[in-house]
Formats: sequence, structure tokens, C-alpha cells
Amino acid sequence: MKADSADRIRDRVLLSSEVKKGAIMSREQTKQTPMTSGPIPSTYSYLTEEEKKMNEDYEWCLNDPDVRRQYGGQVVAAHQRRIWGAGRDLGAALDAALKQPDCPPKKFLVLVVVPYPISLPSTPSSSAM
Amino acid sequence: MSTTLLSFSSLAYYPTLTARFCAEAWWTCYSSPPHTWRKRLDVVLATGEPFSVIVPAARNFLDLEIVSAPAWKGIWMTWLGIPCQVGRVTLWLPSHETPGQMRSFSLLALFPQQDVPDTPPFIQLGVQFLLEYNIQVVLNETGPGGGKRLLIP
Repeated sequence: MKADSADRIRDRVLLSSEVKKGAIMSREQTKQTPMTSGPIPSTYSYLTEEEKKMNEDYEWCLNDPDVRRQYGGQVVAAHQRRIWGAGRDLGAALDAALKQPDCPPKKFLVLVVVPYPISLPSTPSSSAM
Repeated sequence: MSTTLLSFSSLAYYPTLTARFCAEAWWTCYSSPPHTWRKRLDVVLATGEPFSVIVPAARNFLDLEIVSAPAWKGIWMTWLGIPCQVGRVTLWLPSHETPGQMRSFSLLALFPQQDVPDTPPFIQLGVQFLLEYNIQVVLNETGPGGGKRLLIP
């Protein structure tokens, strides 16, 4: 980034908090949304039943000991507690999953960065208590 | 005020400036346009990044609903040398005070035009988001989730 544009960018960081909506980018370029000034207030909502199921898959990938042991440090693509693909990054995991013949459509998959397994300290045996 | 908990990421091998703390995050995505729904893809708090970054793999997977940021028109932005588009997406963060409840935010983000090898497989939440919403980052207290959290007015 050039130094002479740094000031402009800093100013626009501040300005951007006041102008939040405009034309739709990318494939929706013909559709316009009205410009607004002032911050857009947050909205609140709860997860739908479908989103809850997706969240269950996500949490399973994050917390299941077997998943963590086998895929720790990788990204996995999962649906209904089944791993459909894994890879070093999001694209690799998704590609691996979509190559499976019976893989569900992309929209139903979750992509999760699986944590490494936790190595718990050894607990004292009952005979030592 | 709402609170979003942060969790420590064990992934340490990425050479980028993150604090290695992750947060649950949901995104407004297209299901079948113009209809939208939400998908989860967690974020990493990237305190070394001025702006939030959504890499192409994440953008393509989520099929994000992206709104232009008029104030940034004509500004040439790059991330790790890769030219970027600038836009806004809708981010939803969970509220710790009300389990199951999500709160929406309009997130200004950079969209690099290509993926960069060996960068974190997360959407990175940059400092601009913290400034725009006056968010406090708490990393050094004890409490639920280790006390690491975002305090959002």
C-alpha cells in the first residue's frame, strides 16, 4: 500500500462506519439497495432448526475425540456426523468432499478447522488416594 | 452490551499476525438467490490486520451476500500483495448472555482475488471491526471460557 494513500484510507475507515449500504457487488450488480447514513443497528435472532443441525455437526467436529485425533490440524467437510473430506485448507477439504460420489451438496456441508487433540495430564489412580 | 467468548486456537503454524483466539461466527449467505440463510464459519481475531480478510475459498464456500462499500470505491487495497475488492457482509456473533441468540453486524472486509498458500483457514477479524463497533477485547481475566471475550456495546 502506498504511503500517500494511507491518510485517505484512515479517513475512510472512519467514514465507512457511517455509510454501510450501496450497490450489490459481484453477480448482483444490477440490483441497488438504498444508501443509508448512520450505523445500521444490529438485529437479533435465534438459530433455526436447520441451522441448529448444522451447528451440531460443527461442534461435533470441534469436540469429538476421534475426529480431533484423526483430523487435528486439518480442515474437514462434514454433514450429519460424517466426515466427507479433509485437507490442509478450506478449498482442499471441500474439493475432497465433493469428489465423493454420495456427498451432499455444498450448501449442506460444514467446513471446520479441527483442533489438535488435547493431551490431558495423567490422573492419580484410585489406589493412590 | 453483548459478550462473545473467544477460544484459544491450537493452530500455530501460520505465519500471520493473529492473536490465535477464535470466535463462533455465522454469515448471511445465498441459498438460492435472492433468498439467504446463515452458515457457520468461525473467525480468528487478527489483531495484526487492519482489516478483516475473507479469502476466496471461504467466500466461495459460503456464497456470501456482499454489499459494496461506496466509501472505498477507487481505493486500491492489497493483502499479502494480492489485490482485493472491498465490501460488506453480514456477520452474526453469538451472545453469551442469551444462549442461542445471534447478533448481526455489517462487516467491512477485504476479498483477495486469489488464495495465498499457508495462510490461516479462517476468516480473519481485523482491527477495523473492533474500532467501528467500539468493541473491547478482554484476554487477561479469568471467568467463563477463560475470560477471553469480546465486549460489544
